[in-house]
Amino acid sequence: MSHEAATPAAAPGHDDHGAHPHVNYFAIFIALCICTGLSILFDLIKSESLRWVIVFLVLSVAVAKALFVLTYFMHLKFEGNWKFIILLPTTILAIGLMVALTPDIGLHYYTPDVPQVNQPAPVPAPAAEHKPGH
Amino acid sequence: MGIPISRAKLGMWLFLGTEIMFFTAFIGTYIVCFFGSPGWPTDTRETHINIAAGGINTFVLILSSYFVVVAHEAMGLRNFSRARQFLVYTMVLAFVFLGIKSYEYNGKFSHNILPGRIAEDDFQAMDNTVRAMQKAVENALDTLVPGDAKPHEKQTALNTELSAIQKDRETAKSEAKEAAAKASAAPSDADAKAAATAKADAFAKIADETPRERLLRAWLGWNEEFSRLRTEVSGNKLTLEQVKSRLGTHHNHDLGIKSEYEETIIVDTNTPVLKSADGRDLSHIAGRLVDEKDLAAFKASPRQAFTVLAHTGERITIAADNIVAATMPAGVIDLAHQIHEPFVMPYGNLFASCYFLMTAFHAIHVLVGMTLFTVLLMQGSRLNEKWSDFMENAGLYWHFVDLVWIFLFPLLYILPGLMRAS
Repeated sequence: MSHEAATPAAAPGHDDHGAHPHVNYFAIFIALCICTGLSILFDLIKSESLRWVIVFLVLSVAVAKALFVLTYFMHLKFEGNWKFIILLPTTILAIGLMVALTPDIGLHYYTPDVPQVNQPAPVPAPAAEHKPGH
Repeated sequence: MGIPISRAKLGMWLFLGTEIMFFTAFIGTYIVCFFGSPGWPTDTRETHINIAAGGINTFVLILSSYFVVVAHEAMGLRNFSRARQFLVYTMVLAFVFLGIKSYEYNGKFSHNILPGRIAEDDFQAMDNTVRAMQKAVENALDTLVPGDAKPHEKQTALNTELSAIQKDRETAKSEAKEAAAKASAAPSDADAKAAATAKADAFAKIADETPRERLLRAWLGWNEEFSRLRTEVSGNKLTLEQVKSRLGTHHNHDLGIKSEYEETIIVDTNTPVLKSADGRDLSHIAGRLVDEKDLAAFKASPRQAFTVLAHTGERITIAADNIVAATMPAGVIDLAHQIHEPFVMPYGNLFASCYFLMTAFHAIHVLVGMTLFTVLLMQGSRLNEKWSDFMENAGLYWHFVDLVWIFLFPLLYILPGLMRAS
């Protein structure tokens, strides 16, 4: 048991700050801004062949931003290994939910048979009706 | 207890762990639904997804996260006034975020991009149009005849008013005639002649169509047209394309004479009202001018004969005598513009559900974060190191809110558009 946990009431808060080395938060902020700019820049590239590369890049930028925020703004860099005990199970459960949903909703083993998909077939017009001349 | 952090922080991190699962449940379900629904709406013109607004909001949240971290750092250095200052900046940015969010929401509300309201096939789209027409006609009736009476009672009142106006005009006309006759019958008495002429002028003025009367007539015209369209739609007589083209003719201001039903419709101030002078039904004419030249000619001299292309393919020349063209006065009711063009958006309702579930829960989190900061700011100058734990936890929570948006922005705003063609 560390001294911090032993005396949480006696010295609230200030012990954490003593443990953190100084971080240049402004540099992190600039990095986050550049990342946001990059993801918008990727959106402007209209390339059919590079589509999946761009999707990958946009997601990577999002992950990078998330890591910046978690590591520096939320101080996870300076925390003990307890962070993995808390964050790993939730991450596994979150991914598990997607995996569990995918076979039923995400994949179509059978031909999809929902009204929206059948929609493109035109509605038969009654014989008496004429389309206005174009 | 083997974890070397304060209980408050441990509690916060455990809570954030559940929050991660909470949001990834939504985000994960959205991703799975996206890939499981061929034809998921991705066109931002349809979904009214505003990438610029989303991008600005991303920046706003990142900046606010930075301010929170500065405030927290200042607390650690016991510089409490600086901490308060940056908390105020954070609050301002939170309000900016919510403001932009409500602007985006408003764009969706006004176009009925709402779960359960989006047409996913042609019939639903036509249903929506019928409902919108009903609403537009009733709203216009409410402004013309205020009060709590039922629509059919109001319509009766409107008809009564209109016939009263017409009757008054008939009376005025005959009195004006009498006065004019008097004026010419008494040529010797100059004063009496002047008085009679003035009276005749006054009556003649009344005899003109009043603005009120035009409004009432316009409403009747809209009501007639919309009722006809409604009846045909509910009778399954029209396809979505036909409904669109029927509405489109009213939307297009430049082509005043275009549709089959123009004679009952007043489109706007610049558009001639087309009527057959003898009240003949012109509905067999697929009102479309043959070419631009005809339109120009018609505009130059509305009383000229012009050619229309009937929907049978036949060209019909309408003699000038059969046309009454007039320009509508200002203040006329234009109901066509209150009706959005019907659209079909497969999986639109699922999309709207996902969008609102994720962004609204995120907005609720923003509100909670603002509450935490308000508690800190309410301490005023009493803010001291005792609030450090509170500040740290509020900060962690706020960074998490930022984190969620960091994922929502690409997933909701950017990626669907990129995947469109796939």
